[in-house]
Amino acid sequence: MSDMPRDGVEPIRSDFSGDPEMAELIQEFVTGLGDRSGKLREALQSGSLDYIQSEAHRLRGAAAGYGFAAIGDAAGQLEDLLRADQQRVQSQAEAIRDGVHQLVELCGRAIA
Amino acid sequence: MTEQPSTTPPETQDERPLVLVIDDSADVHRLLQVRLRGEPLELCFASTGSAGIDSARDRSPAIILLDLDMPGMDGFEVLRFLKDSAQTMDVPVIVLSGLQSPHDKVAAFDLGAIDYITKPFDLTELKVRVRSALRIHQLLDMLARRAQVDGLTGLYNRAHFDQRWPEAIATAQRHARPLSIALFDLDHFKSINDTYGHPAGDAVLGEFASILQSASRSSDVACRYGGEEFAIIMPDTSAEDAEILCERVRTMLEQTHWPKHPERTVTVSIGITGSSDGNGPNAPEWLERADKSLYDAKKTGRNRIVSSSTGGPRLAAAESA
Repeated sequence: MSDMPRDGVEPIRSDFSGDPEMAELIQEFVTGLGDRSGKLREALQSGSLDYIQSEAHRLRGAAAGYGFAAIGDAAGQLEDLLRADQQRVQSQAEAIRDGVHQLVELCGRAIA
Repeated sequence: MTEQPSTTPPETQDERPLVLVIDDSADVHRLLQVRLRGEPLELCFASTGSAGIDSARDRSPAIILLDLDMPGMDGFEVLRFLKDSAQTMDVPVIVLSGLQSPHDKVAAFDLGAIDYITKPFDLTELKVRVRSALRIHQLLDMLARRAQVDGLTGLYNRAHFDQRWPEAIATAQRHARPLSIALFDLDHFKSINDTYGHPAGDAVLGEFASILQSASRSSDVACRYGGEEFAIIMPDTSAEDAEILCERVRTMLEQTHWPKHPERTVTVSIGITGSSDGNGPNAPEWLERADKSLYDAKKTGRNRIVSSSTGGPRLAAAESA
């Protein structure tokens, strides 16, 4: 399936993967993550910090609800970094890059 | 706000309570939709603060789940707006937020939120908090309704009358529409109580209330005004038309059979004051004129209607043979 992680990467399965009520929803969410990761990477390249911040905010609020607490946590840390004042954001460029990469990496491991 | 129900107070609301979710994340919408599927409620969604405010106004939800951190108009601003508007100020708001600082919680509660759920939310916790808010909402709703309803007859009470009567006058004047008020006082009610006992008296009050209800149209507001006094506010009704309705009430009561005292009929005296174009004195004075008409009906023999226009009094034809 297209949303399966690459070989050799340990997948993260949704905490709710056994929940029939959630099956379809989680599948949809996981499928969407591929696209979202791509956009996050693009945003990092073009320096669209606002986009990264709002996407991190959305993932922070929703990921755990779909059974991906680790993604939510990573998104939360990234959002907090970006929330800091502008000067701090400048000096945190490295951390932000790492944060986005980590988030994208986690998204890539998610399976329903 | 939707227009208030008129003739009689609503009993219960059968439909499922509406929960409005204001959150910019479609993921959260979908999640709540599925997760709250088993709950006895209906969900609707708004993705921005301003759309949420519009929905709150248009759909009068039972409760609102509000995300604090939204682009554009944020949740604090939405909350301030909701609490500033008479239409939405009483709707309980549960704040959903990824922000977790005590300062944000305090600010949300200070602005009028009743509860605060941090994201990512625990499903069970969310469900019970929503249930609890709905329970409180339903109780408050019931109290508010009861505060307007007379316990014995189920008609609206004096408090409701006091609120609706000036509103009815203002509406009639604004649109230059007819408006009438009728006051009813059961004749010799005290002697029914004294002779047959209070249960018999209560039965008379209850029966008369159902007569008023059945004679009233949907736009009329029938109230128990005091002990054995009742009132009907009749929008879009001239004094002449009010007489027709009141004569029906008078006759129905006169012809009612009373199992507890078959030998004794019960009658009512009625005072009407109406206007054909909404013109008239202020609310207390208008009411006083109807009361004067009622007094005249009592003085001239009871079981009759005395009707006056806001211009002046005249004796109605209706009178028992």
